[in-house]
Amino acid sequence: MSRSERKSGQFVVPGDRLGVIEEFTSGPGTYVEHGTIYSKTTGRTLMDTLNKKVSVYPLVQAVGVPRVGSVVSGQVLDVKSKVGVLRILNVGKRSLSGFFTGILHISDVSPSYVETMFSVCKTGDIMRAKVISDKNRTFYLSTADKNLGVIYAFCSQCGHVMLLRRQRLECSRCGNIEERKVTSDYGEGAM
Amino acid sequence: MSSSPMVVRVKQKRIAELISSGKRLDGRGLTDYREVKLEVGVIERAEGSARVRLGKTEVMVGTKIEVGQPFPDVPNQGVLTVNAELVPLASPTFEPGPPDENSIELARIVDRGIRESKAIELEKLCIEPGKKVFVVFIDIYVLNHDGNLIDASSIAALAALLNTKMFNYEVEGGEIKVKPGYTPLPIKNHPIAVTFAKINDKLIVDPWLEEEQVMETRLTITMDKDGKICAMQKGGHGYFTLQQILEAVKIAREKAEELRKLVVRG
Amino acid sequence: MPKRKTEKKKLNIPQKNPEKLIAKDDVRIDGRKLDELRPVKIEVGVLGNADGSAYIEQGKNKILAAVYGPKEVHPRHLALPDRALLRCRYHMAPFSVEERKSPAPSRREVELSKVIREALEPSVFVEYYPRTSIDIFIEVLQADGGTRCAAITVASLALADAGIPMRDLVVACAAGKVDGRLVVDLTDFEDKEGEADVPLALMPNLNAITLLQMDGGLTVDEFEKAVNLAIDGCRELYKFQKEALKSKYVAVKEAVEE
Repeated sequence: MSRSERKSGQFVVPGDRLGVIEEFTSGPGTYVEHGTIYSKTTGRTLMDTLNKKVSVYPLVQAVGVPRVGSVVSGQVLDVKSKVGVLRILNVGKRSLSGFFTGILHISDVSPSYVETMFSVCKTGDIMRAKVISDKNRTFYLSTADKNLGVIYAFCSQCGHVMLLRRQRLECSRCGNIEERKVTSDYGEGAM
Repeated sequence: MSSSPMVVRVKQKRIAELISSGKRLDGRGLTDYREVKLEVGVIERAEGSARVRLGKTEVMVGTKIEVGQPFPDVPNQGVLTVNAELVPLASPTFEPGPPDENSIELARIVDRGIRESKAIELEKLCIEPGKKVFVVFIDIYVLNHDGNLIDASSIAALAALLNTKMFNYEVEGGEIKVKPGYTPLPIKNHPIAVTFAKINDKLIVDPWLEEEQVMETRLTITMDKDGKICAMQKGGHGYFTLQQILEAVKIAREKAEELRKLVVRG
Repeated sequence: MPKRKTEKKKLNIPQKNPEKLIAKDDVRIDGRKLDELRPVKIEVGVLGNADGSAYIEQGKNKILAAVYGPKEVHPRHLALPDRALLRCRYHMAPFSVEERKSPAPSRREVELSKVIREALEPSVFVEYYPRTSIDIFIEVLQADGGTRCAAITVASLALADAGIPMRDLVVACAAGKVDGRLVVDLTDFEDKEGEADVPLALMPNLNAITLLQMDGGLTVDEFEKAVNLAIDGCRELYKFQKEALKSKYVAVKEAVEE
């Protein structure tokens, strides 16, 4: 295949040759081996002739693995006084076939001071958070934003869903009132 | 996948409320089945086979006929064996390994429907009383799990049995000699399972995965071709009232009739 | 099972054997030429629950593959600190073969699971996903020789469908010796009655061979020819692989754009 044949918008699969490093730099969706640039995904080519860069725009849904900066959501597995453990079930909008485990430390809950984790979330709650670090192969989460926090809370007395009434969470069945760090769209079903 | 346990927990209330008002999340009525697609003879290597799609649930059944020994208490009858495999490619919740309680329950429910309705004329599968009979293996293979594996498997099993061909044979001095040609497996009844889920005290038919995850309890009723009940199974952690069960039986009779028309043609 | 399988004498059949596998005019028992593949049909994205899936029919072989992951590894001690753990399970349906196969994994299935995994692993950027697992499940619904090769071909597509970054697709094909002649893509019958079988997997753009097995007897010269025949078969199959991905993703995209 002659290199000059490659144009933008061509359909490529993993392993398709895109060019050589003398001619292009390797952009997203590509890799270099022995001086040749190959596609590493199924998608369409994007030839940036100005910057001499070749990339592949993926047609396949990206793999759902949390990265630093990803917004994830999931269920609270465990809460201790200084830390909460989240079972991550969604990465962005994509729901996972498996799950990952993330850790939310009390210092990353909110810009303001938080006394105890028990006022932030409880086991079983559904939370949205952002991955701020994956050091030591652990996903560290933060909820320091008005869009992050608990999106659905369940009553610690009877297990029913809590409703947001006058800035307070009230159990839909037993009327129990509890505290959480809720998102601005609490209870609206946005996962 | 839209059916993670988290999503379901959130949707639980909505599913329940909708059902109370006679509606379902996927737009079906309470007693509507999902679309059933049936293909038979999909595996040439098997004596009989069928692939059933019930919405997104997909089940393949293959039958095999071998020669074996009869059970000592019924020396002049063939042997029926039903096995189900929940293979891990069908769902992230299925693990590789020996059959678990769910797959064994599934196989036994299908088995009971076929056995108790006397769907297969097992007496005709006897070669030499007490010594040699035909063994009919029904292998249920779940390919995609989106709820109500029982009904999909029961439809597929019946369709595969009706599709099963036996080779012709004759017995010569105790030896079985294969003759050219095939005859259909002797089938005289057509059992069909109808499964109900109880959500918010209402009965729905053919629960899909999200409904199964929120249902309190489940009831399977297998009806034979004369509208008689031949097998039942209650499952799940909840309970039924007698009234609910009787109502379910009535619905099952209609639904089984509808489904049977798809499987048994002519 | 009573004697339904035609009883043939084992290997080294004298040339006079009436059941010749290759007729005088180089036509094989199923009507193919020596270097002709069986008809192939491939579909990508066939299962609802899996992250990636594909289905292949190659002759009478019917095989489904599904990929789940990358996801957190359980049990946890299996997790690798620097790369994803690739797991593979090759399994045959009880009704996939002439005589019913017990659904419990046989020694053959365990070995094939391993060699298939090792054939696919070089193609996957496992280092991108440390401490996760990528699970590949292969179910043989009907078998007619060369299932390990067809399984590799289809599993590689399932990986691509899952969006896992890959160096290349992996495609596999067998060559062998039947009736003293070298042929490609053996059926079960040709494999059993023939003299040798060489299954091979290839990353076609990198020219890397990722699976090689062989059984039977071949001279060094014959072996070289057989390998080249298998590689040619792989390149032919690769076109079908690519086409299958294209028809899934290009069709999907155009439907969205409408």
